[in-house]
Amino acid sequence: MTVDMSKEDCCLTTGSCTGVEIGAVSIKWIELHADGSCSVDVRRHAGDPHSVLHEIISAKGSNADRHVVAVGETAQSLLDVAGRSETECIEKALASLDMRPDILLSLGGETFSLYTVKNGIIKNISSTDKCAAGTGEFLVQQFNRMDLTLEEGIEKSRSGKTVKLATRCSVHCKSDATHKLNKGECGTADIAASLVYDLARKIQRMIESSQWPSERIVVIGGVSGNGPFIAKLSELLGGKEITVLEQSPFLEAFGGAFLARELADAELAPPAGQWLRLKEFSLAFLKPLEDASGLLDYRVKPRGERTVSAEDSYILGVDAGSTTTKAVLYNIAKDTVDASVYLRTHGNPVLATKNCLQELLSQAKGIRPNIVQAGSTGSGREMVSVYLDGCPSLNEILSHARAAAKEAPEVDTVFEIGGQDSKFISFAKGIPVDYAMNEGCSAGTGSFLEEAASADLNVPVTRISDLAEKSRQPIAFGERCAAFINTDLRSALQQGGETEDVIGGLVYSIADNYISRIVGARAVGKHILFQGGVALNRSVGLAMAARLGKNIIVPPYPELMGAVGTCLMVKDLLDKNELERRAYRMESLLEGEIGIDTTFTCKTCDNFCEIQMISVRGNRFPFGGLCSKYDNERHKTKGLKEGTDLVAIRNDLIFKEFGVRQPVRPRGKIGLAMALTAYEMFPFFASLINGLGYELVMSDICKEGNEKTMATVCYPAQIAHGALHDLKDKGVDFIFLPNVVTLIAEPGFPFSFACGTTGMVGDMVRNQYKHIQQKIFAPALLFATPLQIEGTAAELVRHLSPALNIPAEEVVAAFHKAIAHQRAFMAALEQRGSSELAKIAGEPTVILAGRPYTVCAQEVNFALPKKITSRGYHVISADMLPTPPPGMHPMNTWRFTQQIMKAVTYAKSTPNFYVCLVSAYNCAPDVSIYHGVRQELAGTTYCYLEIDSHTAHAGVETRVGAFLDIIGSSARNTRDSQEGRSL
Amino acid sequence: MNKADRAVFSPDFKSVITSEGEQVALDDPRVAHVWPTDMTPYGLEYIRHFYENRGMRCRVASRTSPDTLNSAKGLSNGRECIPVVAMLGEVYEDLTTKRREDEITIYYIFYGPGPCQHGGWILMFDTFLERMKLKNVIFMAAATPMNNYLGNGYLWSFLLTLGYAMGDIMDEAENTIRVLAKDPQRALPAFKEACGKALKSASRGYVAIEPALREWAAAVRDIELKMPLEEAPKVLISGGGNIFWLHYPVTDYFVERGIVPKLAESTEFMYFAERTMVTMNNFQIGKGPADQGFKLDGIFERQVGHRASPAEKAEGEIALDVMSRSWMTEHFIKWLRSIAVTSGALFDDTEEFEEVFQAGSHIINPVCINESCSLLGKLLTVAKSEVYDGIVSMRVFNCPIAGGTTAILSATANEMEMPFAAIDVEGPSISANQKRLLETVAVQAVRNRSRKNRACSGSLD
Repeated sequence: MTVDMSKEDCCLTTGSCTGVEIGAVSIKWIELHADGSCSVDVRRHAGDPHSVLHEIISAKGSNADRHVVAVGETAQSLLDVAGRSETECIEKALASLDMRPDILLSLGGETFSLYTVKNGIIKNISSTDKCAAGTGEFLVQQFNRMDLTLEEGIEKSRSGKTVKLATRCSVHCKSDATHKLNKGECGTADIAASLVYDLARKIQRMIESSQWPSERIVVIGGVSGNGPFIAKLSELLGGKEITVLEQSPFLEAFGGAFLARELADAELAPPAGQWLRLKEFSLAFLKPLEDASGLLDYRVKPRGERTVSAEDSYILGVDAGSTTTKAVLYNIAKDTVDASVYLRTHGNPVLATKNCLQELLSQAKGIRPNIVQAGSTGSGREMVSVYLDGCPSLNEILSHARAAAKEAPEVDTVFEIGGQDSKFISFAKGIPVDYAMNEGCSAGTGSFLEEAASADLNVPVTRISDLAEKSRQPIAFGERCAAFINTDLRSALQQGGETEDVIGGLVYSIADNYISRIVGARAVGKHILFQGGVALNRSVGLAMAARLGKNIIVPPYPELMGAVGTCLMVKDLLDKNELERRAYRMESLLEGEIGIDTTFTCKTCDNFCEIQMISVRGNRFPFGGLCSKYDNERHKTKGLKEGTDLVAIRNDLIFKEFGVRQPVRPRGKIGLAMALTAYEMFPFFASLINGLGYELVMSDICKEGNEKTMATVCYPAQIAHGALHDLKDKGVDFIFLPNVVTLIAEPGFPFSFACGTTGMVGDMVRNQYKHIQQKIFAPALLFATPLQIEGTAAELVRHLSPALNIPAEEVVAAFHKAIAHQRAFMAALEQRGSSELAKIAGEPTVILAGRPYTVCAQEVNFALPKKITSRGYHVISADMLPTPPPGMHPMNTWRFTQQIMKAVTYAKSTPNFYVCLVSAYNCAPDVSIYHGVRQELAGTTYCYLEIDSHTAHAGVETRVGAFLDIIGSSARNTRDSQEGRSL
Repeated sequence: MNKADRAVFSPDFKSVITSEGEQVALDDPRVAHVWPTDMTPYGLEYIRHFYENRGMRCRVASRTSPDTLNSAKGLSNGRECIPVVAMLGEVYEDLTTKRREDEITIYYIFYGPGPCQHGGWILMFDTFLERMKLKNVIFMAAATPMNNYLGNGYLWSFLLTLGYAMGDIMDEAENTIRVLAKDPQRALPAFKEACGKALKSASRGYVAIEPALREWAAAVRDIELKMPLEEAPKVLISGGGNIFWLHYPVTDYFVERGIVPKLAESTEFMYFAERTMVTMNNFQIGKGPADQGFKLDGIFERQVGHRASPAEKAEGEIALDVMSRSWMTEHFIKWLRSIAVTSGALFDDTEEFEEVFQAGSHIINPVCINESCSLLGKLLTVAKSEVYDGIVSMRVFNCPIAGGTTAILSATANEMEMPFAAIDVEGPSISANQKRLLETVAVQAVRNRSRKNRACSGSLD
């Protein structure tokens, strides 16, 4: 590269000047030579910049020029040469290139930063937070996950179509992509295109959030070389001038080299041999993992020879997980696993199953096994079930529990860590009674461990345990989110941490994440079985034992427990004559291809799901949908009567019976944001707006608007942003998005707060949509006490009377009428709830506990009510339950956590009622209340779901499915034991 | 554990009734008074002296570390906000390593109902109490107007607030000394010695405060600075109640680069919490926050009016109490600063708390009872003043309020061209990327200050 030096007063007549910058992923070493040429050396440091610097410096030899500038904090911490800030270096580089952008985007491996620039001077910086979500390196990881290099992924993205992915968090996104691929909803090109698109959207949002002029944008950093990304960003920003410079991948170092020319003699670097600083340690360390070896009963043995017999009958069990697929041939008579296989799913569970079958056949060595039944489990189980001619599809939690009970009959606790999902199962008298799964994210799971180790440290999964066990001082990362650990991992390496200590610390952090996030306050018993693919890694078992101070057993085939459990469950069904024997031929199964014939829209309910007709070996099966209707059809579930959907009844009551009564001759239109408390206070809002003579216009779902948030807020608050985005184009005169601080209080509670976000959401959104600020009404509304209601009346007069030109008395009258209307609704809801509860008394019912805007809103609830009723259970929302009995904690300050505890209390005292707590990621009140919920419900079956913009239904389905299966299984076991049968 | 088995304060708060039903005086050697809230080390030192001067055993929080947060996992699931995680860690360490077997332990933790997680702490600690089956432990002992400041009355509580105010002053001065002392090796120990002496002395009572602070100021004035304080670049570290547990690496970052950092006062946080009651009272009687919401006459109006019920009047009395307390807080702090400023180590003469609060209320309704209003107000008032050259806002994971406010803060800072960085932290440590953000603020702060210095010397010329 040649640089036009004429723009600068070059004081260098001989030699060169150097700028060095160290990013999270690579080292940029730039030398400007006196002849105007420029040497560029960019090397990935794989977490060990010290060694790579040593290589570069050694190659320079002792004659290297002493005009050297270390750019930024990291380079300055490693090099004993003159240091300059990135800000100064970027400014210098821009000046040297005569660039005067408004915004400079620095898109690196780990972080994205946005610099606001004026006249070539950086004014401010904002950055993606500490989380590495959606950054350049994240893209590399995601592509690798699909067996693609960065270049291949970028290339592939050109031919893909975009699908919705949850990109708020790298880990959520990873789960979402995996589930989509496993369910066959899209292909790898689509995921690649979506990742690139989401990256561009993320940057677009950063630019919008800055509220800074953005006509001229310069992009620097490694991501600037991603052509499809730049094209997508240009498309999204329409009309803005986006420049990628030749120097973009290393602009900071380039600027540093220019500054190096200006160094005073006193700042010149010492001879090259002295440039590197000694490694410094500021890290905290943990005890060696081996210290816990006395607590670990590690039963895993080398896989010996096994023989498939021509005489015996087998069950084929397939565990199609998100990361790996496992299959076994289970010998019914001998109760042995005679063949097994464990391989990568690579996003295609059917292809993985076929590969498994091929491998099982090869292990059979020419013998044709007599397979009398098959069963599937894991996140891809439904697709595999279709492929295996409609074999039973069994919930993975129950499968694992079944295998665990077989391995260690005394087991009372199972830890299971798989590729993307982690599970916790607690047993009472051999029956799984309580379970937990990772809540909407994959933090602390196997795939994170593997990816972090391979991407950042170049350590393959097979070496993790060896290295970790060697560590004498594992590094304490002390973090809670996997994405954050990822960042700190690199930081530890950059600080000079040894690879084995980092790996040791990583292993501890996986155990810590599991224990704090999955186990939480749940009781850990005395007989713990640790299983799943990650349990093959002895070091993780050691970390678990060390952290808990308890004995832990790792079974001989921890990775196969799901597949084995499936076989055992199928065997149970055969033994009880609930399933008939069939004749499977593996060769025939291998011949079949799976494909989508047609699609149709299911009109059973308002969800209007698209159902695929899947054909395999001449048979056609309906597949998909939010509820279990078509699963039931495929599996020919007999005698299942759909439960009553009381949530639908509630929604009819609030939105129809107590809903809108539009004026005949409206004064105009007021849009109401259908978000947050609108699902509780709709009768009030409708009556108020109609009472003022205005037509009420409800917002519609607006996913594009949901993404317009300028900060990290919960999913329901994102929807409030979306609602406003939708209403602004609906021709309304005004938009009503109040700050609801308190709600009408439940008897017995002195406080009735909404939440911190709800109390300021109107103001938050108004500040974002400054150009229509005058149209947005965001009054503070408080309803908890009569005085607050009085104050709210006055607040509404202040906001509405002058803007609508309506006399204050008229506003007050409409307000009081609206309050009365709301109270009438609440009374009617309770009355209706009581009468419906009387009808379903004693029958299995799920209480959806959570905020109405989470459990009752179609946009948020993932069709939960329908999922539950289609499985034969009734479903009711917590606000339909009777007034809580006295004795609940009076200092429960939030209206909706009061509802949650009401549900908990009701379920505890009512047979056959179970709680499904639905929360939103980042919900502060629920985090506080969850300790109490867990404590109150300990030992009973309940479900906890955390919802966010995560789009895949698969995770929700698995959790709810497990929850309902455990309820059903407990009920069956109770019935069997009453009838003298045992499982 | 049955709720009846819990230790509780006696109705007059003069003693503790143990889990076994024994009534024990607060100065009994078996009773330990523990403050696990790491808010200004000097403030905590004052509190420790305060109890010890009155014959009571007292332990206070140590500096929050990653280990503290890790210890919290003994009690929590780690998804709570940082203040509670830090306190839980401190409590857990105290319970497991410092608490005597025969001890009756009182943990003093701020409490107030409200929409943020803080409102749920009492529930959370109750759950832990039951889960750990702890006997003779009182969590959430919080002095509030509703319990007449744990039965000790207003003046007792106010004396503790002044301890925090002194802590804020000493924190500010310490940063000055760390950055500007000609001989930091000798200056810092001397400074700390002066602080310790002043705090011990001041904690004896109101009359002891002034002489102690004057003596402190004189001692600090003797520490030689290498340049005039007004010429040094300065950065404000803000972020509401969260920052006290998290600021250490950020503070150190600026100190190491010759920039004097200042942590937003703990007393401002307390002031905000109390002053909210005034705006809430005014809201209830129909006075809008933007115009009359901060005026005090609303409270008097309600007290003498005929509309209020006895319960509402009682509420009004509490608001009056709070109002007078917050008024006194602000004025006493001014008085303390007027003495302490003679040390030559103080520089923050920015707006008064109420002005900060009001400035923010034009963007966020203060009735929402969260810190957004004061955070925004602080940015707006600081940006207009000449004292600071940059602002760092620290937000934490799982604090939606801090997250939501930061978005408005960033945009506002851009609009005002104020060097600003918002960093999202998980604990008292910062990442390489966060250092990049701080570096940008640091570079600009130095530039801003030298521009101001040039302008200043130019005008003198």
